[in-house]
Amino acid sequence: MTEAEALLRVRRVTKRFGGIVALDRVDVDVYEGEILGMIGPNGAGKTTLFNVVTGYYPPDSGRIIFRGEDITGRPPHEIAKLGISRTFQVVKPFLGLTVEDAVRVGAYNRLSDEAEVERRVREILEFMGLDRLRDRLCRDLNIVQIKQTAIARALATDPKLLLLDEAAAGLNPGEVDDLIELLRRVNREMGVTLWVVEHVMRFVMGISDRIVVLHYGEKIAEGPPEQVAHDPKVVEAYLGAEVVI
Amino acid sequence: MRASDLKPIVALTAMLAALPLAVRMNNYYVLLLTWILYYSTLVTAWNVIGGLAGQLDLAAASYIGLGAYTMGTLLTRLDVTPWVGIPLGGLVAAGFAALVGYPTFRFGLKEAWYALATISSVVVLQKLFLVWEEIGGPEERYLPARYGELYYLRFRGYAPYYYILLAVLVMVLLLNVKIRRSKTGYYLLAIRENEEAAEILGIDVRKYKLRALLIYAFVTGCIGGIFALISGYLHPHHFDTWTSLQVAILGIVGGAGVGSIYSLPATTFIIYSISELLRSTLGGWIPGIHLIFYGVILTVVVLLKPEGLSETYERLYGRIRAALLRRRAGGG
Repeated sequence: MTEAEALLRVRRVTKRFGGIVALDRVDVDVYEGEILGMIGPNGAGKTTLFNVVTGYYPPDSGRIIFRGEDITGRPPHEIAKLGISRTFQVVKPFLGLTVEDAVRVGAYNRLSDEAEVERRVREILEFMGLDRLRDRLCRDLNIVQIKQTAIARALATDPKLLLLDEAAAGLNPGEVDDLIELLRRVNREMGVTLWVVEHVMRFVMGISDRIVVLHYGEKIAEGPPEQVAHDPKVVEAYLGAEVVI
Repeated sequence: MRASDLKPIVALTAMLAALPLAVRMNNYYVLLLTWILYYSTLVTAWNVIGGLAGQLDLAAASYIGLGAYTMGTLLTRLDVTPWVGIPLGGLVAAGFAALVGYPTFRFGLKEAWYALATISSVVVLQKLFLVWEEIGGPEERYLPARYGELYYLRFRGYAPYYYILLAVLVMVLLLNVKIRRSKTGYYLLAIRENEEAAEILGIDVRKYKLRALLIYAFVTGCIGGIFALISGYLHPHHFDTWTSLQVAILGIVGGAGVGSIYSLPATTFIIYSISELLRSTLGGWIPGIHLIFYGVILTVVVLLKPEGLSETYERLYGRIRAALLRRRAGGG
């Protein structure tokens, strides 16, 4: 694939916190329609990269290009308007809102007509299988339902690209399989490109078309899952342990 | 707006409109009711910033004072009718709110820091008006005693002010219902619940906080103009930090932003009545007892019902309704 086709281009992005280099000239391309996985040991800079791409931190240097437009340093709400949304590693639920209202907040991103907003909310709730929880306060949900609601409200914004930060953490194997199934449908049926950060190998190996590996703020490997899993640099980064699929 | 939204407002208005007649227009009770309505309108307006947007704003007295001075100065110096002076006071208050709010939100001042910044604005304005001899100064400035003329909106009794405030309360309730059901309302709730999550859903957090603040400041400035007409004079002590605190306490205890908006006037009614009862009976013996009462009520509610009393009322209302229905069914 040529560079011009990439939906999102991260170019030589560097981010420092005091003396620590969290991201060191990182290049990542995300292609339209794919599911890109990103792994790396704790502190590798995965969440930092998400925060830079979605406008929570400005990078110290480097560029972020989305659909040909330079979005470096733009605030998150503008980035959402352009078509990128995300979930958070530390879930940030709207505890005092109902599931339906949380999704509605996202739906207003592109729609202003109340009837259209209503329709969008219903579609998303049905797609996510959350319709029977619609009137439940987020405060009263379990962790799986909270994570589903976080994905639902992000999808309601109608993104082209969705960044998922450890969506599978804390789920049991059966729930992980359900999540993979759901995200595949998001990817295929809704046409949303996915970029997922994950520690759960079962998840990231099972869902990704390609995988990027970060280590100490540097990209050390990139490619199809099976190739990356046996890459000597990756194996070494995970303390010599063979990456378990 | 839906018909189901209007029903409780109509019922509440009818009930409140009849109250002065129920106390046979007794001047003391009408005055008491007028202050209850005054605080009810303030707390209901505060709901926009404190309840929906979740910002602990303590600048109510800044907006009240600015509204009072704007209306009063235009009336005494230029003979401008309060009908014009009151909304202009609202605009001045909103202008001041923008001046404080813009940098505050720009630099992300939140929670306790936002509360401190806003309450200090009250103190600063009070001192400013004390030394600003042309407009303020330490002497009371009395409003013209042109009683009974609609142009001056000055009346000998309190009943006319009671009904003016009732009209304002209805407008502020409608405003709340309207905002709550709009995109702005949902956005403010999202900001209250989690600012960072709200941003990536496309919400310009600063813009919406400022919008909530401006609406609240405008309404509160207008109420300040009415306040000056009731009290009959202007003085820097109208920038009163206690008023700011009282509004926020009533809002928190009433559960602003949680459940029904009617919880706020209801809470004001109950707490203000009890505090006034304490003041009039025990106040001579223990001065300031009504202030202690506010502290105790706040502590108890925050400890036992941190979400405020709105749910308690709803449950109570449901129980009373069920009991009445049962009795009717049993009797029939």
